[in-house]
Amino acid sequence: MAVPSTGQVSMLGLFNEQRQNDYSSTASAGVEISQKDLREGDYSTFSALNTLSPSIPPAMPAIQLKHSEWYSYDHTTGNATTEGDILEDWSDNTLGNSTSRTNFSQTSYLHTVGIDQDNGANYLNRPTWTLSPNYANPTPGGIRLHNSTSPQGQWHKITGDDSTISNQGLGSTSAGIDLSASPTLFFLRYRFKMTSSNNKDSVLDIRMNTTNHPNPGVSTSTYQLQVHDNADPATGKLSFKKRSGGTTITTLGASATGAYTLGTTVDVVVGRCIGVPKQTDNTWKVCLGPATTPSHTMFTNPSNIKLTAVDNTFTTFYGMTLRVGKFMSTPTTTHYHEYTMVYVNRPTP
Amino acid sequence: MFITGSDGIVYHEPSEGTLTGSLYRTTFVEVANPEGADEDEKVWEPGILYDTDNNVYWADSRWTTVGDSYSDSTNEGTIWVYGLNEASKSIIENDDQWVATYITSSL
Repeated sequence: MAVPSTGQVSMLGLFNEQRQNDYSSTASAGVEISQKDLREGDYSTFSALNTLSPSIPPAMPAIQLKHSEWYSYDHTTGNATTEGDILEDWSDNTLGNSTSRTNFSQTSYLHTVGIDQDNGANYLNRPTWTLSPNYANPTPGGIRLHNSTSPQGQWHKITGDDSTISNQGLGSTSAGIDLSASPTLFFLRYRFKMTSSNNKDSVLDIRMNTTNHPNPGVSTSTYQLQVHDNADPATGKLSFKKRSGGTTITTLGASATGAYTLGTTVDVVVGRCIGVPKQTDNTWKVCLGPATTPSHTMFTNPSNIKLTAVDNTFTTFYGMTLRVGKFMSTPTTTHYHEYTMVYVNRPTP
Repeated sequence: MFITGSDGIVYHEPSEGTLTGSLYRTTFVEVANPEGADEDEKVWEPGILYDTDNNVYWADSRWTTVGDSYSDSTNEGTIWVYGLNEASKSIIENDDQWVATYITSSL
């Protein structure tokens, strides 16, 4: 609940709005409250002012700040251009496996360009990720997958297929995202770099239709995007596959060699649509482009589209896994796959 | 963009005419130990494009399946293949995994 837009403003309410996103709370502050400390976010129990709120009090000197200048301040609302069903940039300096993540409204999430607007709801929580064993080497504002001797290699997976997604506004427990309703436009976007000296393919698993995806290497009911490495004769080729029951994997489509240039950072958009004018239903498109190009632009621009695949086997999205096989070349400081942003949303078609 | 194939079926061309494509029916072949899969898994690739002796695609072409055309029981599917020259088309039509050509590009 945000600060009211008229009438009296309570100092305790301002404190609790920033501490627990609830202006109406009467919970005791336990400390002396001052305008200055509220404005500058100096209390240890909460983060700095949400600069994405549609209304924020002006800058200091705080001694001159009027209570009315806090009208409509909202500690949790976000910038509409950064809202999504899943948002991640690892900018709270964790690998994402902490049970307590920092909301996007409380950090300097900078991907305001190139991200499509959501349907208007505010989904600002970060996902909680499950990491493979033998994991290390975080990079500021991102993750790196590199050499591992674990049987499944290294992986970074959005965990708790139901509860975590539910936390991010994807509906009730176990509901997932229904991609079969018409009209639906679905974008999964990530910022990616594969170093030119690594020797393992990058794999994105798009987990579908069931919450039963216990093992990143053998989960069925997934679509799989693979970026081919420098050791592959088709370096930089993209393959889109379907993993059905048992051990059956069928390649549904592939790009030409060199669609991705190793060593470069690109935004990868994997999109699917149904009931969208001038688009074939159940078409998956894999697009590459710069961070500044919106997802819907990539989805319709032939120069960004690197492959298409039409398939309606799986209809409900339950999460994703970023992974790489074991035994990548070393050293890990220069041989890795880097991810610095993940974003999922369903813009209005 | 919709095009009628030699089998009389109207097919949607997913690049909407921005690429030059040919449409083939092919048997898919089983590839063992592919990267990105587990040790006991196999991947099915379109046989007319895949060199099973060397475990690579022989043709550096973008391609895509026609929706719902792949059959698990016959391991056959219909695929658009883009950017083929005459030499590549000839190789495809002489491949053991080639089943039919429905549309041929004029590249």
